[in-house]
Amino acid sequence: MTRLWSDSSNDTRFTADFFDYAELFVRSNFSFLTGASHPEELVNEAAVLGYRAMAIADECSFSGAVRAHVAAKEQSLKLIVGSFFRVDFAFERDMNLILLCPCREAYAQVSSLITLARRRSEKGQYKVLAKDLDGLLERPLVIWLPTRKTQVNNKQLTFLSKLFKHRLWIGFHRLLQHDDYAHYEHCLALAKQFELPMVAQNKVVMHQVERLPLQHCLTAIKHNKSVQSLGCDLLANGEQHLRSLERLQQLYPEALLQETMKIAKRCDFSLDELRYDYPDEVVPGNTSPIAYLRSLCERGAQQRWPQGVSEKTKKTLEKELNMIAEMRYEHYFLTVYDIVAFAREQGILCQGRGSAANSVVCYCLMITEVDPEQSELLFERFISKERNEPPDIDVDFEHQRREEVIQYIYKKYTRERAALAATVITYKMKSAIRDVGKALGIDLAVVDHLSRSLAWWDKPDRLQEYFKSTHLDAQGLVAQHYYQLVMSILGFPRHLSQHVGGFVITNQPIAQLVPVENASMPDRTVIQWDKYDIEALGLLKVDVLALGMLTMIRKCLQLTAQYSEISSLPDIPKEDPLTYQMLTRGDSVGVFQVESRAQMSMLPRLKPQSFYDLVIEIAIVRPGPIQGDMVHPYLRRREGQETIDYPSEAIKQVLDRTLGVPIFQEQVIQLAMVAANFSGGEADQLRRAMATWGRNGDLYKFRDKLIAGMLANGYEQPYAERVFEQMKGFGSYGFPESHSASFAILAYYSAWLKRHHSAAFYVALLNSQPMGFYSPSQLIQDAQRHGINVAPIDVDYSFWETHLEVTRFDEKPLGDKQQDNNQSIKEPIKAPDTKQRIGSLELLSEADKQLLFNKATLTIRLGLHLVKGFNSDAAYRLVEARKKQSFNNLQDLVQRTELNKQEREALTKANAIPRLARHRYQAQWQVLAVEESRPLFHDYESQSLEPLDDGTQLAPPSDMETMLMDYQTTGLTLNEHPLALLRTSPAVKPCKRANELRHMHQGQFIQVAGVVTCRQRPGTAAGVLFLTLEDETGNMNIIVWRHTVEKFRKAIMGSRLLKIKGTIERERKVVHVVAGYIEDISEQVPQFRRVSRDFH
Amino acid sequence: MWLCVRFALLPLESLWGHSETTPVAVGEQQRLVCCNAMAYQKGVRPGQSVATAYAVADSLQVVERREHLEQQQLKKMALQLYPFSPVLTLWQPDKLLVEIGRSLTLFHGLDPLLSRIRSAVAQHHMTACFGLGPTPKAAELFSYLSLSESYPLWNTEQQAFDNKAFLALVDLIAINLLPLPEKLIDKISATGIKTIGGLRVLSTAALNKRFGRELVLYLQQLTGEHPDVQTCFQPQIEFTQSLEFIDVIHQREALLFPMRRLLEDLIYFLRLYQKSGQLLRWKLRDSYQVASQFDVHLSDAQVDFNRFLELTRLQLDSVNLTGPIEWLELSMPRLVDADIQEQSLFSRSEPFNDELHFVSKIKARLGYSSCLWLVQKNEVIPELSCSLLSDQPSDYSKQRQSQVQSRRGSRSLNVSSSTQQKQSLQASEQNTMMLDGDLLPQQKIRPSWLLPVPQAIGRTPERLNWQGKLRLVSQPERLFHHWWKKPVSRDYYVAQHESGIFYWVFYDQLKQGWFVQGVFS
Repeated sequence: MTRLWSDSSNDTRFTADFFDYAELFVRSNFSFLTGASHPEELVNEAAVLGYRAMAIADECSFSGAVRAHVAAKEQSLKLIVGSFFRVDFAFERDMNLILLCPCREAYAQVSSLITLARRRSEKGQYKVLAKDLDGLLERPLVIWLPTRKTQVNNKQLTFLSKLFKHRLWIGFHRLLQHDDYAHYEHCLALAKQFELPMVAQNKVVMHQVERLPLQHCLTAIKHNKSVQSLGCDLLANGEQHLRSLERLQQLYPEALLQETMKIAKRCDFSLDELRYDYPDEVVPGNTSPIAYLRSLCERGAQQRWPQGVSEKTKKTLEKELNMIAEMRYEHYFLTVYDIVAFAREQGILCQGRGSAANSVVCYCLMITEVDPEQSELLFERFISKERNEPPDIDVDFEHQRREEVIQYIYKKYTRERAALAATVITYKMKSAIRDVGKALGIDLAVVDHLSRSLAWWDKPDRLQEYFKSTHLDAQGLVAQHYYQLVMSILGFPRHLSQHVGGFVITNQPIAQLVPVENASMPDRTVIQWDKYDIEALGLLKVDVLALGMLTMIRKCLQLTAQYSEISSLPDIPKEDPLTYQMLTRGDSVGVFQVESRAQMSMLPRLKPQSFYDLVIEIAIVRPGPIQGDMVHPYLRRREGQETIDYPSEAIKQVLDRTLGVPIFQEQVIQLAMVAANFSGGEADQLRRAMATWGRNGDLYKFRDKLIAGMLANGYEQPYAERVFEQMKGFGSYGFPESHSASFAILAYYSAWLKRHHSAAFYVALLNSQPMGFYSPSQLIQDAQRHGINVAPIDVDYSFWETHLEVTRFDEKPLGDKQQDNNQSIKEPIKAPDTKQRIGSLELLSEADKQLLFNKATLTIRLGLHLVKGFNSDAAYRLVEARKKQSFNNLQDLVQRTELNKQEREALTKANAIPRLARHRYQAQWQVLAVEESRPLFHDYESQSLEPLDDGTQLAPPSDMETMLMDYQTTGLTLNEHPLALLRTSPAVKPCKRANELRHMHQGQFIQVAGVVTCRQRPGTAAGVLFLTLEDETGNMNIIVWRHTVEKFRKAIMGSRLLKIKGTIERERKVVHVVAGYIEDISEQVPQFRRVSRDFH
Repeated sequence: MWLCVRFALLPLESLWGHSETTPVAVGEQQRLVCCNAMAYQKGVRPGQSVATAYAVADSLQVVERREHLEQQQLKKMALQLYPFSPVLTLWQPDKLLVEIGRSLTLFHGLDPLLSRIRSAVAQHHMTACFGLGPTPKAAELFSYLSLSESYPLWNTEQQAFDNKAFLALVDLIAINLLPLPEKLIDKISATGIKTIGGLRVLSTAALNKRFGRELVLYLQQLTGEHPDVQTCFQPQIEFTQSLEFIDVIHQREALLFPMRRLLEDLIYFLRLYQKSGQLLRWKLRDSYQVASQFDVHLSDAQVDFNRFLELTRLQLDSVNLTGPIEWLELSMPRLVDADIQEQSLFSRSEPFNDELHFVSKIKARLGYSSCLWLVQKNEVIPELSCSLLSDQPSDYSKQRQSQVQSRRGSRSLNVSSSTQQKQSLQASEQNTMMLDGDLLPQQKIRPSWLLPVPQAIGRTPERLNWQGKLRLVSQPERLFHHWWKKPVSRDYYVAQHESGIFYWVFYDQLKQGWFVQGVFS
């Protein structure tokens, strides 16, 4: 063997002085689970190594391009945009190509190819056919990577050299593999044969060789295997990193290195060239955009203020329209208007929020509901010249009907011009622990245990401390690797998901701007950039968001419309005192925005009496006001315990409505404007800096200006300092008044419905899950505590959704309704023995409706949707079969409803067949004997089907088993609560019940026990953890101070049942238990698996 | 009356024996099968992945499971217990069932018998759990309980099991202990039935309909309602016969007379039992009590007295005798059925390229455990890239298919006796130095033979030396791997020896030294 080139470091054929190099094949971690470095890391490393240019060429993707672009601008490194493809030539994915974009047209062509390849495949996959290359790619530069098969290479090059004349290269890499020499010889022969230039490239997948273990891990994750089992499927060495120029000199012939620069010089395209075109069909052909917008606003203003528009509002409207025209945002407003108009036409509840609620234009366009005349708007919060960014209009739609809105957008603008923004799903602590653990071959049980040991507030670097609690040898090699790899992978992109609702709509095909791919949901497409990328390039996005509470309100109104005059939102009376009384009691489970434990504690103290009190209530229980120490002054002033004084009239104007205490973000900005002479735009920049406070300290840039300005205006230094401290407290957690006002509207509606139509309220809540703070189990318990009957899931009565039944309390039977044979229902509120079930609310006659108000009550009948493993199709079949005839026996039920094995097991395990089988064990016994084959003519023969009950009497489940299986199969129980079953056990016997706490006095020692339903540790609470325990009588609020959290951390994190010894802390009617000793009593019911809801 | 002896640590004890000081575990396909007490103390558990075990106990030693050794050990223990009862069953993978009812009189009752059995097991340092029951399945089930629970079921006075007490104990056993498919256990549990008693009160027809015949049959065999015929263990028949001389024999030639006699007996024995073999083992003892032995290997298994004698005579000539012989023994280990011997193993009429058929013949000839599969593993590190398996790899047929397709696939099969496990056998040389248009991505330059352990190469500033001068003749191939347990960082080269032989050498970046690892043919 002869040596073609030197491998010695002493080789000095040419020096680095005149050696320019461009790396043309770099895959970042946006080539998911292949690339092991962030785009920024690659760019920075390339700059450090002295590369002149770098091509980011992720696999069939531009996802990492924007980040690389931003980083390259900072480093003054030339970035070439490209993409790598595995093309189906003769066989699947057998041809490897790198396409580079020398110009805007080439970029559009590659973007279109990515879109084509992705759109025809499932999410995360792509398919490029050889024929796709013909005609579509007239401008990109192409680097072909040879395979190891000579004949295949000949065929591929014959094909490609015709298509890409003068823009095709043979890419050669030298990665210290066994056949580098032969590979080079082969490439050289091909280059001569096809008269093509050769170019060096390094198949880079990491910026430094130290990332090799991580790259191996990513490969293992990709294949869902462990690194130990992958062997030769892993990279054999770490040469696929950005190597030094000296090293490259040693490895490659000079000509191949010089060729990289020839290609780089041909690539002039930058992402800065991308321009956004607004869709133009939202403007009628015979008018200008601003004229059309103005006419819509004027028409809306007449509707909003039939009595006439005030001068102040007219001026604001004019100012807004002028600014919109100046900034050329008309299309944006008209697009949002169009979407909202569609939703309203369809009866889909929607409401705008965010900074849009600061706008008269949005109010007039019916996008928002907050009357600008009744609140202090800050126009600069909405649009600012300095910001030079499109305004942020978020519109919430009913979460169960948002899809209709999305499909409308797709239909109107077509899939070629509308797509959702992506969300880059990145590795967080738990997912990193899980995936890296699996990749290292560590058992899932150990990984899960480790993951559970870590609290959500733990810093990642504490991971090693918890190795011990998982019995891992923290000093061992495996544990050390585990830790380092978890730390490395944190923040790595895992895959693209769809943004919650951010749409990008363009005038030209969107694929020419950014590649589009399929989302996991059917009929959804997403672009390959997320909101930060969009923002970085100044593109426009419309947020179409989902809100569960809007669904709940619509469903509740549909129910109330059946038996009352309340059928739409305007029917709900304003400022109802009974509603405010209920809220003042802290009775707010299920009420929008004020149902959290902190809100519940605040309600009795703030005692809301009006809508504006609700606006304040929503904004005040936020980290901003809490950290800025604004809550107590506000409460004291509200109760007249503290005098209110203002240093100036200007400040009084700003703070008067909140008693001199800044509660809203707008007030902080206004303060800067009136007290320190900030311009509107500067004030908005200040708001943005507050949002990033704690991350980069931008806020301090404004400190001097604020204080100097305030001093110049005659304010005292301490006052100025205090204002700045309050600003810091707000940070990104500050709540704008407009936002709070939007929420307060829904909070009031939901509170009113809870107060006046409780049963309908809970049914609507249950049917709108998942949403809110509380699980169905907690909602049901709250309903029961409000005296509402709840009936169990029953194939004889239940529908798919939970519904209302009417039960009357006289002896006279009503109508043709079915007899209630269910003897096993345990009703928490005992109904009279004479109860008579009328039937579901939907079936009520007018006469029955009348009776409802006299001698009947409403019962919540739980729906089949709560049964785990059941489905709506089966429920539909069941209801249809039941309509024809009630079920004779289990065989009849199974056959007429055509239940498959999973469906019938789900029903039996959930104890949903109480009439036909005495208990769930008996039901299961009978179901096991069901014949799989369906008899012909079963409809006619159902009467003759033999019962499956063979006389076998199985022992019924114990109360404990019943409770456990109820939770396992439906997530709730109407039978005994776990704590009720444990009352006699020595561990729980001395414990007080939740309903006894209100009678206890301040400082009294107490023991309580309960199911952990919520753990909350606000970042502002100095390490304090708020636990909620539930027993058979209600919820208990536990405060755990920081040192106690650390001391009993294992029990707190791992337990489902806790016993707590502590002292009573009460403030009027609000009672807390301050924990001193915490004990895990899960072993009392080891099988009990109920997960708490944890909040930051 | 059945006694079940369950060897809970068989995979470990058949490989490693007892170790009190080192945490040791046995792994199979990256998962632990069992571990010793020391490892257990450190948190290692059977069922864990090997990586988890290392994460828990960094000092752990994991050895690869060798099922054929377990089977050998189980058979060995069966032989140890054979004297206590001729009715003995190997219950795979780790139990022996011994019918001891008929041995009670001989051993003077249950206690002495149990004591003798325990001693026999303990002598071989095996960890065992015992269960006693009237049926094989009952004994097997009770081996998961303490012996003190099943022992009282035997009524010594009446020499019978107390049936009522037996059924009462059976009824108490949780169903998840039953050796039935997990799905079936889940199905039963869903009806609230928790114990065998809960099942036994139900009608056979009802059980049959819901849970199938398997459960019903098991229950019936458990309680003795249905016969449970066991295949008895048959110890391998071996010929061993000796002669002790009143007058010692001084002449080598004179030894041939008693040898003739023993060989005649052997021929008679082989014909009687229709057996044959390929090894004659002679043991001798001289008047100074010095023992010696020599083996006569036979190229085939034909039973031929003259051949036996001739080969023995030839072998005897080279044996160094230290004194007059007073005792002589002939044995023939590893006997096989004679009919197998009638055909030549390498008969040309056979489809010799049919490897599976070939393996079957080898197994038939030499026994199951003496035939091992050499399997190439998906490993980058050369010394880890092959291993021996006692059974056909599950993906063998797929492997074969792809090999046939590739035409240049390596042979994953090789035959080796268990005592000659040469890890150095590399499947085949794959020379990819030339691009011939049909290369496989995974084919690499690899030598035919790997040394069992890489040998260090001496180095002077000018050159490498290993039994002569070495000259590097290739570009480096870099390997960086196995960072998760024992990092390997090497640059491989082909080196030409001054003798012309090509070696596979590497520079170890971590040890900073040169090594030779293989030889190209």
